[in-house]
Amino acid sequence: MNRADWELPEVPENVHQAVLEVLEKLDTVAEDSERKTDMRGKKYKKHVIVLIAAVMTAILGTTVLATELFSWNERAEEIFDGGGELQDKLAEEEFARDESVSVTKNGLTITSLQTIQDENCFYTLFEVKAEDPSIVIEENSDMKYTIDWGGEEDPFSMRESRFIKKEDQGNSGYFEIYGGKSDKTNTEDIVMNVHFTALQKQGGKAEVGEDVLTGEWDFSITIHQTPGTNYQVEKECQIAGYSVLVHEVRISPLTVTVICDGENMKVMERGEGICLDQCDSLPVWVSGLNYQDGTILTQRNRKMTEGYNDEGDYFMTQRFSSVVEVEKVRAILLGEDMAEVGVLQTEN
Amino acid sequence: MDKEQFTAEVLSAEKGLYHVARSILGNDEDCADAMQNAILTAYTKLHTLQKEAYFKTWLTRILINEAYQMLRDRKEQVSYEDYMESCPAREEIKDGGVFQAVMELAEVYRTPFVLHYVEGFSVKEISRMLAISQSAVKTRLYRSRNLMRDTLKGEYGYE
Repeated sequence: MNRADWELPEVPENVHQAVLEVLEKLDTVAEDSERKTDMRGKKYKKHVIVLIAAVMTAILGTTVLATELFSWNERAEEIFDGGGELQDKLAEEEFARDESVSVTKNGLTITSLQTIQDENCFYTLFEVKAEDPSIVIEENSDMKYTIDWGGEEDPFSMRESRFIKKEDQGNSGYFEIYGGKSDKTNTEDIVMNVHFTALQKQGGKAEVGEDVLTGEWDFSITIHQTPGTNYQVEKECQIAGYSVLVHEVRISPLTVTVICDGENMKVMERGEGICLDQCDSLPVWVSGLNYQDGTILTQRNRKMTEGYNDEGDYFMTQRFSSVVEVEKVRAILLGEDMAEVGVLQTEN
Repeated sequence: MDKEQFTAEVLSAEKGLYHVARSILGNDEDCADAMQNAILTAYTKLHTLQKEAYFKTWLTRILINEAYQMLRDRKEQVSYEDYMESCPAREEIKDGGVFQAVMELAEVYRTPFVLHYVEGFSVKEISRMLAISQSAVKTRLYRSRNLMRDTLKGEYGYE
């Protein structure tokens, strides 16, 4: 078959216009689409467990694309019910902070509740409540907002936000903003100025939502880049059938970074026909945590970033599915086979 | 890569993206949706593209994922066969020529065929895009070639 003879179809005008439309609105729609599951406004089922002080919200389902931003494990729930010991500990170590700042304008009250953070990511939770009881705030509602970083560049390469689903369809809801970053060179506190300008209801295809209530609600939130705890490991384990030397593990209550021998990982890349340069991903993630009391906390693959550092070692950073009590971790479990890697002496 | 370069690269790849989207989805409206979503996803994840030379491969892979996700979502409501049969699915491609014959292949052969023979991706690239082994890609290409040969001889009078 001679391809030169083929009459390959041109791009239809309506398709071309759709491409031009999204290219023209890239910056605007990219910011808004971080708050939507996709431009079609399709509903995804979500599983979210959020603990706000001592208040639990409903548990829902997850999809491949729209995983929950943050959840608390059963142990944390028990501890919270028992008096908030874990929350006090997280606050003491500067991984969590209650905000409790309210701004009321034009019949809408927004209250910043809590920020949870480490050197890799943050979650900030707001309660949004309309005075008018006929206004329904639901999962597909949205908040229009901008963020400025005190004159600095946005340090977060990943950002998502959404309303958390709840059982009752009322005039209040919880809105969550998450930010993730891979650059660890700047460890200073980050000031995030959130400027809300509207409560919105779900929009149509490729459109932002319609404003329900407008105004200005400003919050200044300091994100403290609390570092995790480093563990020197220097142990070999089997991951996906490959021998991998794990050098180091760095754990915080929110995220984990695993550093492995670069040559071992390149063997895995070649063997699996994977190329990190082409956005493939290696089958290395923390699939579980082994606590000292024998409890195993399974984790979903929520890898944030991976690659090779300047020393040629492979690194992988992943956020946890739920808050982790770092000092109680005896071992991390890697990959689908849950290869155990004991965490030994600490560096700091 | 800045926004201008990104835009230029997308427009340069547009025709190929349409061919790939069309090989998976049955109509232009869905192709437009999938392409919009893929472009937007690519823009928000541009920082993860490590080599600009791989942009088209990378974007095509994102598009394939978007298109298959759309099909999975539709399957929750109707079967794949019903989707491909129902209006406005299976739109004829105007002046499609040989490409129309390609569209008549079963999807399992159609997409690899388009990726390799129309868009020029290698077997290795296709295996990653479709998450299948290279030998599976080769088998499907072999079968699609034979089917196309029969179709072109029979219906289209090609020698």
